Amino acid sequence: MTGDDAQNPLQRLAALLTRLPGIGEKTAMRLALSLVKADGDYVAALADAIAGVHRQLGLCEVCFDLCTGGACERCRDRRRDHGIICVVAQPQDRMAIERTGAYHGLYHVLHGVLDPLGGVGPDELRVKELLRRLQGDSVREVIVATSPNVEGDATAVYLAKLLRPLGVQVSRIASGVAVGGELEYADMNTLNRALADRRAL
Amino acid sequence: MQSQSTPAVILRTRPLGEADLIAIVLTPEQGKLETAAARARNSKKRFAGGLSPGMRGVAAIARGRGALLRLESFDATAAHAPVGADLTRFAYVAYLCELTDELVLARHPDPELFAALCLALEQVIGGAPQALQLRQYELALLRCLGLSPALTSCCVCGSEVGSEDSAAFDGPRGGVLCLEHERGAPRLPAAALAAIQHLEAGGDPAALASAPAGVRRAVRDAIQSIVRSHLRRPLHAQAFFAALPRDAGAEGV
Repeated sequence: MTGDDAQNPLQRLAALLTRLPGIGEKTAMRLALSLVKADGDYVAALADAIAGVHRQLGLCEVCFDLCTGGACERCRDRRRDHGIICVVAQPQDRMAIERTGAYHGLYHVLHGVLDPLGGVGPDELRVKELLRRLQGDSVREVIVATSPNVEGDATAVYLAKLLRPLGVQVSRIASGVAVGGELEYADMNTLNRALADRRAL
Repeated sequence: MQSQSTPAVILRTRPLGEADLIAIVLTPEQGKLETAAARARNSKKRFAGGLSPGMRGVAAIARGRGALLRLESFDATAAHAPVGADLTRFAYVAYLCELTDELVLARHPDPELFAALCLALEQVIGGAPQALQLRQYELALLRCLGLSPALTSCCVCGSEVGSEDSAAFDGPRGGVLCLEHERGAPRLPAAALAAIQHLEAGGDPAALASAPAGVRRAVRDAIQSIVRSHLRRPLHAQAFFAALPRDAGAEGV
C-alpha cells in the first residue's frame, strides 16, 4: 500500500480485510464497498462485534476452547459426562463434533498438532494441561479426535503413550472410506486405513 | 496449459490462504520445485490421501501464472499411513525431507538423488526405521551434491591414510586426515570408519545394526559433522526428535 492509499479509508479497510483468511484483494474491495453502501447502524454493530470478539474472547481455563472468561459453558454443564474427554486440535474441530449432537462429554483443545517441519513439538501444545486434568480418577476415557492425517495420527500416538500409563482408556476416532463414498474412487491410503480399522459386525 | 505427470516426493507444505497449499516437491527430471496446490486442503479427488512430507506418488504439474508452478493432482503410489503410527518413523521421515529441502537447490534435477530419497523413505516407512538408514541417505545426498567425505585418502593432500585403530576425521574439512595434516582433528574408531565405507558403498544398513552403540554414535557424529557444516540453520526435525519420549533402541536423527 502506498502512502496515498494508506490515507484513503476505503483502501485502508480493503488492505486490512485482505489479511483475513480466504480474502483476496478483489473480495476485500467488494466487502469494503458494500460497507460504504451499508446503513450506519449495521456498520457500527459490525465494528462493535469485531472489537468485542477480540476483547471478550479468551481461552477456557479448563479445556482451552474459546470462551468469554473462566470456564466455558460445556465445562460448567453438569449434564455432560465429565468422565470422557474428547481431545481436538483446534476450536473449529470442537465445533464440528458438537454439531453432530452425538457426543456429550467434555473437550480439550490442544491448539495444534505435532509438526516437526513447522517446529511444533509437544511443548507447543496444551498437553501438560491435559495431563493435569487427568489427575484424580474422574476421567475414565480420552478420545483423540485429531484429523486422520500423518500429523494428527502422530499426535494421537504421542498422547496414547503419555496417557495409557495413567490408567485412562485412550481411543481414536474411526477413519476410512467416507460415508456416501464409493470404494472404487477411494485412494490407497484411505482404503488401507479402512481395512486396518475394520470392525466386527 | 497441459500438465505433465512425473514421479515426485512431497518435501514440505505450507498453507496458502483458506484451502490452498504451497507444496515443495522433488522430482527426478526437474529437481526441486515449488508448486501451488489449489484447494489441496479440502480436495478429496485431486489430492486424495492429502499432501504430507515424505509421500511418494505421481504429480501432475502445470505452468501457472508467474514463476510458480501448479500442482494439479498428486496420486500416492506407496503407503504412507505407517508414518503417523510410529513417532520415530514420523521424526525420521521429517528429517529426510527437511534435510533434502535445505541442501538441494531448486530446479537442479538429479535422478540418483531422487532414487536415494525414495529408497531411504521406503526403508524407513516400509520396514523397521533405523538411524543407519538416515546415515546412508546423508552420504548419498552428500555424494550427489559433490560433497562426499574422503574416507581412504587425506582430504587435504590426497595421501593414503594407513589402517590403524582409529583415523583422524574432520567433517568440515572433508574427511580423514594423514599424519601430517591431522593436528587437532578428532579421532574416528576404525570400526566406525569401516561402517561409513560400508554405507557409502551402498551396503545394507541392517548389517550394521548389531554394531556397538559407541560405533553407531561415532558414525552419526562423523557424518553429521559434515552435514552440519553445509546447513544454514539447525533442523527442526532434530529438535523435534529430541523432545519426544524415546522408544527403546530408537537412535536420534
